[in-house]
Amino acid sequence: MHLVRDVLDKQIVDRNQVKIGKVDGIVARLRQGKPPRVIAVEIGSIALARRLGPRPGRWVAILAAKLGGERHAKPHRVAWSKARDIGLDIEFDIDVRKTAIFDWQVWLRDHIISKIPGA
Amino acid sequence: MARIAASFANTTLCFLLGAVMLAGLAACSSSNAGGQQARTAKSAANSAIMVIDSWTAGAVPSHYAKATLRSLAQTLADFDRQQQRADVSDSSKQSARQLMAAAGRAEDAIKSGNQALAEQARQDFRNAIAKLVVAKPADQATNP
Amino acid sequence: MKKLLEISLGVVTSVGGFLEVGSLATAAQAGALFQFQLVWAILLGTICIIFLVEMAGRFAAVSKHTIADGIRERFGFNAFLWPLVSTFLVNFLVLSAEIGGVCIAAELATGIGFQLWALPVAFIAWLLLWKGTFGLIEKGVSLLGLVTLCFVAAAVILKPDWTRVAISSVPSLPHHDTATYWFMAVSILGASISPYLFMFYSAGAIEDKWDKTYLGTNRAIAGLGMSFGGSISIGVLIVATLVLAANGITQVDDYHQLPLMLTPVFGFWGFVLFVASLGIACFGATVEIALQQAYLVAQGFGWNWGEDRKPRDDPGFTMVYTVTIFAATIPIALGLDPLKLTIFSMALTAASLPLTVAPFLFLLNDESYMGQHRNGVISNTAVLFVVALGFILAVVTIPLQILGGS
Repeated sequence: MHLVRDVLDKQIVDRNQVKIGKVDGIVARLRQGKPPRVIAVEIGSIALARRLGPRPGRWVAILAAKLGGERHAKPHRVAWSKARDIGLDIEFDIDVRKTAIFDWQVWLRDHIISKIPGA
Repeated sequence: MARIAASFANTTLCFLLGAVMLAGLAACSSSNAGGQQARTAKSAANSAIMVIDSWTAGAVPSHYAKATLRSLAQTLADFDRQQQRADVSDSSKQSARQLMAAAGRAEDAIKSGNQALAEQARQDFRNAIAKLVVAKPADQATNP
Repeated sequence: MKKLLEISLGVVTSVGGFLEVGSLATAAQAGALFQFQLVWAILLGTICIIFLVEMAGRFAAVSKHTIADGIRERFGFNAFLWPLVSTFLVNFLVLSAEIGGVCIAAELATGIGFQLWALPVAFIAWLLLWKGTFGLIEKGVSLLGLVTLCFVAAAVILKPDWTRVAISSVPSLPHHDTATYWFMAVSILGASISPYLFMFYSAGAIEDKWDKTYLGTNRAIAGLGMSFGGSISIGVLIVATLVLAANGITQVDDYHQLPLMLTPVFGFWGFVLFVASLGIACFGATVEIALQQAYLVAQGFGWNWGEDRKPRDDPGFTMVYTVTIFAATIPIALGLDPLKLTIFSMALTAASLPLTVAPFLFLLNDESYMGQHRNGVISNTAVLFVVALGFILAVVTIPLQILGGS
């Protein structure tokens, strides 16, 4: 399997077919003499920022920690072992509501969107 | 392949950014050659005539006619200012003055609802346009 | 039978939603200064958009992903940033121009200055996005947009020399104001081949839940809808020629001049029809572009999105269109001339085409997305042509703006 072509930037959905995000980063363990082994995928702004360079990654990490606390100082990781179906989208056997991935959207909903009538 | 795409996109975007800045500057500055000034004035004057005709016929509301003539009058005032400073014949400068005067008359006519005054302004416009020096063949070609 | 109904509805909404401030302004200016000569530019732009829209729809129907999805997924985040940022910026300017268009219509109707209308117009557009569904927006607003057919009616009533119009469908060299001629051609192409059009179309195909059975429908809607839509632009050009140019108005640089196109033909109803056409067409475009901005960001980052969902179910998506709509009012509220902004944003759209169209070449030939429905020779030739055209436009737009723009 070609990691960059088939995994990176692909749409991730959870077990309820909810769109979680795209694969913003891949975590792999390097092994001597053998191809790297994928451990997890990363989702979120920190992982994305790192793709642009180490410094943007640091800045976004600091910003995320300031806004969301320590829980958000590191990119969200989903274990590769939970991947169920790899096609155009990658389905993971998790429930996004039990992760911190949507925390910012929940914040938006609770603090801004809900305050406007008709939401 | 993605690297090639990225660097090509990189170059294109740098170009675009430079282009945006240049375009912004270009849009702000108005480089008007003499021929284009005459065309602007002629178009404004002819527009004024059309507005008067439409207003007289009741085809447009008064507030529109008023606002349009105000805007056209400003264009003609700019033209007059340019012509007075420019190295053109006295007859051209006179035409520019007449256009401005006609615009003023037309505005007054609409404001007071005076159709006769409007008709007079219309005639003034016609006379002044005829005297405007037609510099480019384009202007002659567009009047079928 | 049901498909026939869908095709009819799709064509009608495409026609109603085709005209907007860019195509109106560029066609009017072209008709006034060059009479029928620039018909070929509208035709060329229309043919290009037919191909791009068909491809965008086919991509969405077969892969169940939108073009924006595809660009991110296929090219990676770093490469995606360039079309994302450039499209977002260009869309922002066009959105501003469209809001300006609605405000002008409101000013012409009421006499109240266009600046004051910016916020109310944005609010109504936002409300429609907040509470409305995709179906309501796509069909409702576009059906109202059929009022723009008054330009076609006017063009026919004015009895143009159709032979001359036909001859002008082939490109010709200008006899005067060469730089301005080519600048207008570029602007017309930018107005016709707007990226938001085909990206919105692909998102719309997903919203309408299209699948492989819709491929024929897609082709019909793209072909017929865009063709009829293009004829409205040509109608505007013909009317501008026979009314404005014929009365000695060769330069259209003041939006007040625009209603004069229809008043000689329809009298007071001409004024009403013009105001209604401008207002509705631009309002429809406003809603579409704001929605497209949200699609672009949400799809690029993989968020949940959907106009039919309640705002609380896709807060990120909702916030993008909210912020973008109100931010776009700023230039208009500050008094920037909507007509100048329109022409500028059309030229910029033309210049940004290579970035947004080049991905089509790869996405529509990708077997994993398209399966057996990949591009054939004709479609690929068309994309290559549009990309090449886009490069030429990108290079010449700025010099032309400086030399020939108003």
